[in-house]
Amino acid sequence: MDFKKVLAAFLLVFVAVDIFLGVQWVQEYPFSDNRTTDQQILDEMSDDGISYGKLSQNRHTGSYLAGKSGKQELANQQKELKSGWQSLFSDDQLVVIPATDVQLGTDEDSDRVALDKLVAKDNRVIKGDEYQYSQKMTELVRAKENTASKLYAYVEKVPSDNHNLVTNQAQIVFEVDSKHRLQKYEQQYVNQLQFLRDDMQLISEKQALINLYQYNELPNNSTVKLSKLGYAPLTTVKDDIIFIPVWQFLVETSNKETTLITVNAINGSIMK
Amino acid sequence: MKKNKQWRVNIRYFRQRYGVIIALIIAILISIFLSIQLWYSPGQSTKQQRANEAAQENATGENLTSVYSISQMVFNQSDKKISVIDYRTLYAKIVDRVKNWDAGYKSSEVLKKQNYLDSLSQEKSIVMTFPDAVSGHVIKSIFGKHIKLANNATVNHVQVPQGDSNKFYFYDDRHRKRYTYQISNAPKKLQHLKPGKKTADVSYQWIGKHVMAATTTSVNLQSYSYLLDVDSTVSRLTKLFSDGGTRDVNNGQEILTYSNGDNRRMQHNITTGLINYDAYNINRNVNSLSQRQNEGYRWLLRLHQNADNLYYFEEHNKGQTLTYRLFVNGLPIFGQTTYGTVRVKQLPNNHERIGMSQYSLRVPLPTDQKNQVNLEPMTDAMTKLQSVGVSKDDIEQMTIGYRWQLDTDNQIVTLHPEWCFEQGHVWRSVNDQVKSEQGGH
Repeated sequence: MDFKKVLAAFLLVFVAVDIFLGVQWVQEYPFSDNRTTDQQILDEMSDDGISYGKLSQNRHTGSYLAGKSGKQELANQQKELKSGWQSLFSDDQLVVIPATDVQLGTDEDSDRVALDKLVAKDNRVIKGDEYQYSQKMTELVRAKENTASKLYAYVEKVPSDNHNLVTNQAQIVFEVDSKHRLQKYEQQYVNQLQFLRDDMQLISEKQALINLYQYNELPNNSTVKLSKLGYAPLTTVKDDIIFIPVWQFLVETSNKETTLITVNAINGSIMK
Repeated sequence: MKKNKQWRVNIRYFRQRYGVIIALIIAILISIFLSIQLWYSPGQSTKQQRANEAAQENATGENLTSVYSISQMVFNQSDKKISVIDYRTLYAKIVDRVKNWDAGYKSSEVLKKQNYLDSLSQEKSIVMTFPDAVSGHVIKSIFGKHIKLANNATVNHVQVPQGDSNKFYFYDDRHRKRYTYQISNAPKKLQHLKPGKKTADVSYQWIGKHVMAATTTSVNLQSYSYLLDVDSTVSRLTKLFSDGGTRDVNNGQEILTYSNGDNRRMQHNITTGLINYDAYNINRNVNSLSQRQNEGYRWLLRLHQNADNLYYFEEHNKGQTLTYRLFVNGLPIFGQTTYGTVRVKQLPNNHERIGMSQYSLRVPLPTDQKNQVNLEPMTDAMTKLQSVGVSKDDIEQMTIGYRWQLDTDNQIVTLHPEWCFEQGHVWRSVNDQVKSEQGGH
């Protein structure tokens, strides 16, 4: 065989080898995908039809918190409520029913303003100054409780912290009828709140939502209706309730069912 | 014109005669290049491992800089130097500001022992001290890649200005070396940062080969309680193996051995709670402190040990042994054995051993605020040690730490503050040493 033909045959073989190696190399190196891991996951979520609002990447600080059930505290001050206002305990919950109709406002906004004033009065709401209105918790209780009345949630504040307790163990839920009259309210209280450790950097809202997806907690075609950072109970040791910072997400599935999912904001695990 | 035609003829002749050979040579060179690239590429399993590590970093929000953090922060004021007890939030704030400074490398110099202390004591500055040397790579990960510092440089302290000075420094204890940086633009300075309420008066001293800010007055510290976490470490680790483990009883100790059948093995001593994870045939080029610290952090991720309260604590032999320890409120926790530590050891023949314990502390419990311990100044603790025959020259390091004490129900761990010292690479409590020596006489 002529030398030139031998060379041409070798050339063909090496070009074929180069093409094979080149394909392997392209597959091995991720230079074709410059997206961050976060962005890749968010893109996957979009592909699965999961929708969500603007996600914050801010990392707040927080720590473990302890408190005790404030049932006794509520019971001790029950008699200070306005005379005629009926109050009774259902488990740890204080249920208060006004003596007569309490007209609040004419729409949601004016109802809220009236409730703020009511909460500030000692003889209407025990320890009311330790609670504040929460739009997000209101949406949560409305999503959970399917009643004809309008519900408004006030949550217990954590002293010297921007975030509140997000549990029904530290919450007041007001029930207002369609004519804007207060029907009743249910109150729970946690007292002796104290921080247990130095502050830590918490995971961001974006990281928390990505974790939910990675733990398969977000069904396809679901919508994240709202998210909130707060303190939720982790465990109870003796009389102490231990709270940790959490991200809570209200997720609506394609068949309009809503679920509240809680993510530990310290280590990113899902809390059941 | 004629010249141009001649050239074209020459090129055509050259192409006909050598074209195939040149193309073949190029093809061979390309195949050699691609083969080498593929040979050194990380491979699918490593890529998967990296992806898992990245996912875990995302999940916990932790990264290399969270683990390689400081263990002491001192405000050098005009009248005194004060060490901040709870410094983590302040540290995060300082790092955020320093990252945005435009700073250029100015010089580096080796100082005499006393000059080194004097420089660290400069008024109107904040000194942040790492528990042991960290590499230049770690420093750049914390303060920004724009800082010119060799990856293999070692740093023990960072000094940032609080006054009008426009210089900041890195200090390397082992070589008594100071790196100086000139700040050309600092959008946010540190003038208004205050040390907070919980502080202790300190002065800089050489202890062994390290400079530490030793307390000069007694300090009141709170005791803490934690819920003992027994199961989460083991359950996370056993998920790394597909087998259920082989049970063995040796000298009254029950040991479960897991293996992947190839190059990974884990021994869990159920009696003592200690776990050894062995990785064989590690084919990575890990020879410097910088690479080892990076690799040590990777092991924490792979073995799910990157707890929010676990921090880098010390290194020996240029990082061949790296120790990570649980911290509470800025101070390290010392267990009776190796509880609360993770130790990454590089052994000969591409073998790495990671020692851990099944016990951890995650959930703090309320403690009586009155439950405080008054700790003597460091010189007094040192005198105590010398009185029982421990020579000052033998003390490698000294620190206030928390002692791990388990209650009788094996559920709650109480952490008591006390002085601890390192001698022969072993940490002991000063009180224990004094008691055992006095008991022995």
